[in-house]
Amino acid sequence: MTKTRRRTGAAWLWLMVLLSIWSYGGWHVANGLPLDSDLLYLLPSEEHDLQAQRAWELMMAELSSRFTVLVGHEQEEVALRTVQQLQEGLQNAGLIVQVDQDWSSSAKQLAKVLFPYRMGLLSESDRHLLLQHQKETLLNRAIGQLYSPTGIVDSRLLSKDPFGLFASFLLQLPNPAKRLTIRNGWLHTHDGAQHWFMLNGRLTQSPYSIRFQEQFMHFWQAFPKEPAALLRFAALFYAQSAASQAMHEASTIGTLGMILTIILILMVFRAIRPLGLTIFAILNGMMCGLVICLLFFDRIHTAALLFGSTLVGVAVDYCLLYFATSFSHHPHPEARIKKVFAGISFGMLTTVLGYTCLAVAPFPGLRQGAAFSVAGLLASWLTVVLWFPRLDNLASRNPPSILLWLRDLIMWLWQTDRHRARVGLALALLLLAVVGGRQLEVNDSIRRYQQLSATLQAEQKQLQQLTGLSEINQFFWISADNDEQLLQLQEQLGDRLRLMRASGILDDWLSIARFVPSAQRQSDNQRLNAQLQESTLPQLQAISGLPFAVQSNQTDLLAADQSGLFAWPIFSGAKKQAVFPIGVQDSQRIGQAANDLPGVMHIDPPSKLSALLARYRYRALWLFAIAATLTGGLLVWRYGWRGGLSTLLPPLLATVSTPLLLALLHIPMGFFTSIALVLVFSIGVDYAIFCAEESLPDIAMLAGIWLAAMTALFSFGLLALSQTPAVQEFGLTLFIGITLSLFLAPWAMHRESAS
Amino acid sequence: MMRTAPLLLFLAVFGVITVLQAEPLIKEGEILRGRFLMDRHLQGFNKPLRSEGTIVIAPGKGLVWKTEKPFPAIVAIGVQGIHQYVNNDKTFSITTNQFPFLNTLRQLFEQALTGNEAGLERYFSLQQEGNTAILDKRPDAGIDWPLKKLLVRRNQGFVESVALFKENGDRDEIHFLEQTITLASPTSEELQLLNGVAP
Repeated sequence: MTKTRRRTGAAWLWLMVLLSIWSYGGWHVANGLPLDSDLLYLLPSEEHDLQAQRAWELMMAELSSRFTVLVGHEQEEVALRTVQQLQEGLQNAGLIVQVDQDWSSSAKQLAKVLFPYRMGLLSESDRHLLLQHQKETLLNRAIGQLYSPTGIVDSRLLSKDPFGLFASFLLQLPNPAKRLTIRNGWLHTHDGAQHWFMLNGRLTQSPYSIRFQEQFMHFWQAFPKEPAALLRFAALFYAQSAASQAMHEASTIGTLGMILTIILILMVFRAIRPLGLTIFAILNGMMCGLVICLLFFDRIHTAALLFGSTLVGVAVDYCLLYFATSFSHHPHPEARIKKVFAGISFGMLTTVLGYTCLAVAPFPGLRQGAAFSVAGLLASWLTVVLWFPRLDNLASRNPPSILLWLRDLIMWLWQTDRHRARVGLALALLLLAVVGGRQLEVNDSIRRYQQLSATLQAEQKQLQQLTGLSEINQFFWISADNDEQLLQLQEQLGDRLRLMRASGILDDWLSIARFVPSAQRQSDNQRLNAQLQESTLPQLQAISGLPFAVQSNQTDLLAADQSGLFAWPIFSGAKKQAVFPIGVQDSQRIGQAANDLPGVMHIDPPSKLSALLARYRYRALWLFAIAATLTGGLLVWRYGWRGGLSTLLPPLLATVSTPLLLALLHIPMGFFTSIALVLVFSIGVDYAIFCAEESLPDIAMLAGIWLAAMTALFSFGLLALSQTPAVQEFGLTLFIGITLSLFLAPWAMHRESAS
Repeated sequence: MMRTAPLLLFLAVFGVITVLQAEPLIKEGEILRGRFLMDRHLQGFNKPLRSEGTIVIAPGKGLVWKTEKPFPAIVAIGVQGIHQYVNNDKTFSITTNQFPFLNTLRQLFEQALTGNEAGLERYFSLQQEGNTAILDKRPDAGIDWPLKKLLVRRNQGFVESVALFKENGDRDEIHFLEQTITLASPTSEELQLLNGVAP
């Protein structure tokens, strides 16, 4: 079989594969892509502590599925009617789980369940008094309550709990929303001007599912809110807002990049076919990337989609380099592909190497983006190599004058008589790098990357002020063999948290053991309670003249799973194992409460995520070092020691200088900057290789590089316009890095030839 | 609600005392002093719990209920919360930081003291029979409290007695004696009690 026949066979085979890919991908697009915006999906999967990872995932899923809305109006009945209609509408639409919203009956039910076991239920302060043998204080309190106008003097309660210990227990139960009371069976507050009713719900699906977000927002926007005011506090709204912004940016930036690329190609080549074939190659790349993601991942993250949309910037390089040969008098398409084959293939290999390094990082989102990009690049490269020579009918032409001018601009610095200018620019770059190096700051805080909707934040703040509802963003996770051990550990932790509360480190904490103590503690409380009654009840009888009966014969213990508490939203599902600190002032000291308590771990997601980002920034930089070493080896193999080093140095210098120049703009070094640097290096190596493949400053090659750089800036660089801080840093890093790479690339040209 | 119901009940009663006056009983800067006699009838107990002592109401500042017999105890309801003192020790305290709902109750009390009926009418329906006011809990009050009915009897511009009926059959009867209104401020000790400082 001749070489031409083999190439023809490969081209038709690739076309068949493409048809299959388009059929499969097209079917999925038509039926709706499984898009997602769950932040957890982007988190590293390489977590050594699987238990912590599981706890984190469970809790985040649990907390993010909560849905809270406060409905307010001056007239109570309007606010009440609106909140009832909202609940009914959401339930009928299948958006929130059917719940019994009657808080009044829930509170009564809890009291009813707990009351028979009151001998074993003591508030922390009463238990402390009894352990300290301060029975006199409890006696005085009981007498004071008997004659107090505000005392809890229900005769039925008094005869069964003369010291008011059960009432005291109820009073000290944790309350995560202190400003709320129960009114008409709903949680209610009044701010002096408006009545506010709270709707609490649990979403029926993940708040990060784009499809569910669309369903929910469809209902939400259609719901008649006027004249009531609605305040939202739910992960769903933040996720929807972020996803909407990401999709909007992907669409806007992608479209803008595409339009600019199209204008550039039309302007430079003055023909439609290069544009049509370039779009053909890019679309094949995009669809191939999408299909690979559909095959290997169960859902596609919007961030990965945004990342993948930037693929166009690199894939278009091969097309442009190919068509740029029309300026070098290669009339036959076979001759054109032959001229650029080594350059674009070697460039493709090094870029794929860079993207593969991203896939090694254990961030599923990055893996997805890398898989998208690698598959897309290969598909575009195959389309260029196998189909461009068959479809190209572009005649050789003279380059437009702007290309000649740009060639002179790029090569200006690298003329032999520009030695002083090179030294001057090198010194200027060195000076800027030194100044930037002094200002270089490393910051991996996740809060820096959070771009939360200002409107939603304002609503959340107002809702929290009105209700006293605390934001729970950290927790202790407790593992034990059985429920009794679990409760005992919660109590041991609670004893430590009580001391911390006294020091003002936190306001309170929420745990199931505060409602239903362990059997061990209940027994101990029963003993203390019985001692109090035996020793002190006669005194209470003598002072009041009331014939109280001793209540010390109750020894039944309440089990947590019999309490009905697990039906409460605050303790449902995974929260059984968690202890939530409320109003934390010092996260680090709170974490110390878990020290030396086996099975107890403190989980602070924002701090944990920031620490992980720092760890993976190191990893990204190591990956960059490995990629640079491997690439250097390949370059030395192809161009020899001197040629290899002169090809490696331009991208290396561009990559190292970029964070120092960013520091001058007060942009700290972070994880997303580091990942962008890996890409800067990959793209820079491409340009250097294209130059290294030439022995003269050929107009076709320089036009190709210039066009490639411009299109890369159109796609990557435009990300600097993003409102999402991580994407913006990523884009700005690439903008500076690619610009430097472009102007340093001719250094890779053979020295003797360049001169 | 079970935590605050008795308090709400109490404040509502004292709100009624003043709202029944044609004119606000006491104004800002004035205080009411008097004595009380309370009989608390509890179901299941043969004899009532009787107590007596003094009362001080200072609009904007709060109320001090000082039981003298049979057992000395003080209850102070201030802006910052409710405090109970026995034998110079604070034995019970709820602050508005713990339960901001207390603020609403205090505001209700303040409205009542200044003759603003709007606050109370949300919870009671009022009926006059001679010099006795009958206040029944409104079915649409929205709050699940144990109070059933109030009887308030007036005499010569002051509230003479209040009878308080609860759902379970318990009953409090409070008689007010030697009531005077003065321009004097609460004493420093009373102010300290209202601020949660034990005597």
